[in-house]
Amino acid sequence: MNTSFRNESWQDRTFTIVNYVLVTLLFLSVLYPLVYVVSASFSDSSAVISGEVWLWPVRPTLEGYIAVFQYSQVWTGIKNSFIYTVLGTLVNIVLTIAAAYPLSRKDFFGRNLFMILFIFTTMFTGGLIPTYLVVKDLGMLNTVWSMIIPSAITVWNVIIARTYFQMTIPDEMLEAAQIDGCSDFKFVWQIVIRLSGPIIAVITLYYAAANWNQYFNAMIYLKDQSLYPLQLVLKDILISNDMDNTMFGGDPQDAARREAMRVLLKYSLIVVASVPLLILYPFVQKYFVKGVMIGSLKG
Amino acid sequence: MPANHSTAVPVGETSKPRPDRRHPVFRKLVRSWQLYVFMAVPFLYLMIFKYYPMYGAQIAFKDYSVVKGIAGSDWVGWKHFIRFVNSYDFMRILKNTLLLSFYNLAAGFPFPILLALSLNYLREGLYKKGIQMVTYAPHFISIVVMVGIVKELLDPRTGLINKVLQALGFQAINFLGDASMFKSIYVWSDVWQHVGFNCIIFIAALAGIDPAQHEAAVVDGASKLRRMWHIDLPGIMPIAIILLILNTGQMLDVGFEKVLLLQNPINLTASEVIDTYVYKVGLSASVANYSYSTAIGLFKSIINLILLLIVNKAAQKTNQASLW
Amino acid sequence: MKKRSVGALMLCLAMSAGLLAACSNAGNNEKEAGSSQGDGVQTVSAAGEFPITEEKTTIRVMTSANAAVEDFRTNEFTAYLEELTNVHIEWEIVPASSVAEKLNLTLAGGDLPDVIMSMNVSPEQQVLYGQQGIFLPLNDYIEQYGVNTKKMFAESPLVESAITTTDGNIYALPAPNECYHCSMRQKMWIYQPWLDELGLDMPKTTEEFREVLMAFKTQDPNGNGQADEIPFSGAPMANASSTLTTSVENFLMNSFTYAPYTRVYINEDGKVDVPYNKDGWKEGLKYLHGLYADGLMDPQALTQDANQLVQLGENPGTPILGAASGPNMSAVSQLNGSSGRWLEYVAVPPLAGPDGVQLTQYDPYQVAGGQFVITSAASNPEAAFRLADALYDREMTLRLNFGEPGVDWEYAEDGVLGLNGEQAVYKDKSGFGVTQNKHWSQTGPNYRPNSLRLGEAADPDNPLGTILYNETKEKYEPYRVDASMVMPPLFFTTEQTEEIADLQKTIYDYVSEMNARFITGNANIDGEWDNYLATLANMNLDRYLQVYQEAYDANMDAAS
Repeated sequence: MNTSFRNESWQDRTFTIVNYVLVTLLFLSVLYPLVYVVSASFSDSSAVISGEVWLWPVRPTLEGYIAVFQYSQVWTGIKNSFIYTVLGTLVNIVLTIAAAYPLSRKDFFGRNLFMILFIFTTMFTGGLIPTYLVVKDLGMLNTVWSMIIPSAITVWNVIIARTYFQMTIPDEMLEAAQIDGCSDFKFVWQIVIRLSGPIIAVITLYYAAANWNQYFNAMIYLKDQSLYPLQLVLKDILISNDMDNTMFGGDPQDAARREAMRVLLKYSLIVVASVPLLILYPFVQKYFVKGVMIGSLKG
Repeated sequence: MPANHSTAVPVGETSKPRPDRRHPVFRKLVRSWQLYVFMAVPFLYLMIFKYYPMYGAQIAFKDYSVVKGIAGSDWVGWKHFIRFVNSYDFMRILKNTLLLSFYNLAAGFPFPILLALSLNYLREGLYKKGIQMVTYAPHFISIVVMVGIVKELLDPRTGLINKVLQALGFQAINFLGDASMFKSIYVWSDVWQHVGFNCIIFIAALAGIDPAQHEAAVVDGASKLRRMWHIDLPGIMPIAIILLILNTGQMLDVGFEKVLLLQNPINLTASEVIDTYVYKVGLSASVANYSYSTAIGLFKSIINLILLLIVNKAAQKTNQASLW
Repeated sequence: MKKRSVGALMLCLAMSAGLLAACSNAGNNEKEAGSSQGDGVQTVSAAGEFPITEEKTTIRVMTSANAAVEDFRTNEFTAYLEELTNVHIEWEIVPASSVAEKLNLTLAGGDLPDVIMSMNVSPEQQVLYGQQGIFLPLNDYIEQYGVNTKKMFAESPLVESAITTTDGNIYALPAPNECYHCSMRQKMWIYQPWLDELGLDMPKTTEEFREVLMAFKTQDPNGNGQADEIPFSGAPMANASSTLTTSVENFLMNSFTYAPYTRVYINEDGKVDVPYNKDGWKEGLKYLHGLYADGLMDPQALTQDANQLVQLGENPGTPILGAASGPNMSAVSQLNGSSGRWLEYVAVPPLAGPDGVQLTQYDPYQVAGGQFVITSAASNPEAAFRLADALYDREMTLRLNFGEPGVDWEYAEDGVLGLNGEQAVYKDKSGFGVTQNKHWSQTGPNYRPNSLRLGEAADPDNPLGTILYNETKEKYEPYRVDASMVMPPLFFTTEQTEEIADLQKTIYDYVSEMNARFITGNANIDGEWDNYLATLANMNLDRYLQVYQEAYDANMDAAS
């Protein structure tokens, strides 16, 4: 929708220049921590400890990554996280839309009541132990399901999906469909979903990120190491190498080696854990091109 | 809300005749039966995993003993709340928490929107895609690493920021040694880290705006700035307001791990918040005093609820969007 | 209560003697006796005899994961142990990050394992669950079967009282790991090359120390023509349970009044006391303020974290850090780091203050309690106890920590010297690997007293152990306070814990904050000292001391 630069008015041209400049500045400043983390992950650990690394890798080495992948658990962790993320996100999206759509309909009787029910749960909670007991009583402990079901819906995402539906699905469209005898089911399936590219893309991203990064649920509900997701494995590695000096009488030699290991791992772990999410983004990005959805449907 | 489509169809009855005219409520229920089907499973989830466990909240009023269980533990009424409110620094801690949250909310609100609007006007292409991806990535950096980076940048001796300041002729500033700077450091580093991720929802919202509107505006000779003001901004206002309300409902849950990592004895007066206080008290009493922390959690939730209701009410008045 | 148990003790001893005699005669005919313990529960063989049970018994053990151990299930030491004892261990491994939560969840609603091992069951938890019967009291088992446990009590007399709760019961076994140099944690490390460069002797008094710092600041010891030297720095302690003694007052304050980093001790009257309201503390603050005002103390010493302190010490190229406190030189440099600076920072003996105070903190209690608990769900508690007792044996401890005798470690030959310069006991031959599967890497009950740890053969290529021993022995031991001044680990009741937790948090943070303000000059010491004391009183310091005193008295009674 952007006309070529030459054809724009001077106001628009200034705007565009300022826009690019500001965005680029932001881009560079936000880029910094990323560059730092990647550089540190490829640097010699003593360089990191002494603070030599500030932009580029110092004494480049793959030690950090070798250390990560030495733990065979990392591989099972990746596999498990992948499964949990794919399955989990699927469940998330289906249920979220199933909840958000009715909430967006003015003629949904009891809509405000449901809304309040949902919102209330974001502020009040029963706490860790009762939730744990529920999962236990349902027989989900130590299974894949404990990674998917208890976190099936995030009310936040339901709300933004609802808002999106309200904004982009005009009443007239609904009425027209209803007059044509279209049932709610059909309406959702054929029209709402097609119009919702952007919002589905957003909640996919949010849920995928949450699922990929989750470790607290795993920590509580899983016993078998073979079921651990990646983040849990990674955190465990970091923590086990982070023993307080007195824990075991503080053998400083041991502590020093662990500290060096921990420093090495700290950065490479982040990179390893984050790369898949970064790869996901471009796939989701194409749904953010504006007008793609609405325009195609007008016809 | 883009409601400019003119379809000439009159608003009328649906084509499903209903014999039952006795009970209007019943009629409404039956008419939207399919919507209830949609809502069924999510509702079930809510009941099982959210509402049923809420019985556990009662331990805030009991002296929870793991062995006696929730039902069997002794009732103590408001004891834990009183203990919390009577603690020496209660007012200061509450004040710090509220101030930090408000600041965080206020600062964090406009930037994702501005970024999304800004990105909207970039030409489609590799640069735009690259920027989106890069700004979204810092969100995944762990808190520990991020605080480490912040500390390094702000270091009076070796930090980048101070080197720049000195190059410009100013004195080096010991940022973390100044209690009054704590909140700013916390908030702006948060904005910096999360703006890319948080703007995604707005990008999606902008993508949902009918391009016909922009075409019409261009034809009318509107500049980009005007288009942004009259089309884009109203287009995302509903979602922005909703997010504002939702964030208000989480206000007192300001990030405890990050605060803990940025604290030091000098900025403690400004940096102690409810969650770090509870954590430290719990550290030396390593029997997880669930009752106490649940009571404090309840306390926070009630304040959050009140704030949310206030903001929602205000939003209702603006007629733009609100939760209910 | 104790008087009664002495009689019981006599009885038990007599009985066990009789049992021993009977068992050794009975030989293998123990199956009949087993029925008195319930179906299928094996009788346990006599104290010190192996295997523990006639047929394989299974014990469910919950333990924290250890990154250095590949898999407890297939571990070689596990196999050795099982063969020796005939006890099969069914493992439940808990991720290290979730130990605290998992413990609570298990107690809340999960099913209890037989044994909870290496999950740091706290003293409060021991009291709480012990009294509710979830954790079994172990006193009788120790009496009847605890061959090695009793030896341990004899050699390290402080252990027994440290693990006995106020009701006289022992609910959890420890893994004592005496680290000689860690028993005196408040050391100061100074950069020797700078002393040499400027021709200075090691300072002996606080005044001399100040002069040395001044020399560091003004005479450019690192020779680069810039006044970039930082004479003295540090890092505040992260929280009340931290043991990283890098805070600026940790070492220096002991030249003015006794100031352990725990901020609580027993005074000459045998009463619980705190250091931060003493006149000596005030004088110490003035001294520190003087250092700060003269630019000898790094302003960031009051705000930075431990990592930044190490960065200071490891400044690439030119050294810039003169001195800082810490338990060992890893607080200021990287051990075995490429810069080699860790060898160049040496310990400063406690300095004599203007009033002649010259002390160092001492911690003789290195008990590491709460490492082995037998729950009420255990089907064969005697077998479980005997398993733990077995691990206190010296050879078992060595196997648990290092691996196979002859391969990963061996008994030292005559003439080989240990870390303490005397005949060594053993030699460590295991390399440090990321993960291994030959030993448990310090998990579980095991007993490493000074006599064992200092008996590790000195390795000339790895002098750290020897260095730390010598520094501690020569420079610090002469000045350490008497053990009677040290607060032992205490068992508190739940009410005491709650009250102390609230008061401690407020008071501790206030003291840290005021330290910083007095030192920087933000608050005037003479002018505001009374205000400071009044605020402490307002924060109920008296009540804090009172509750602590009650707990201390109760613990002392139980231990006597």
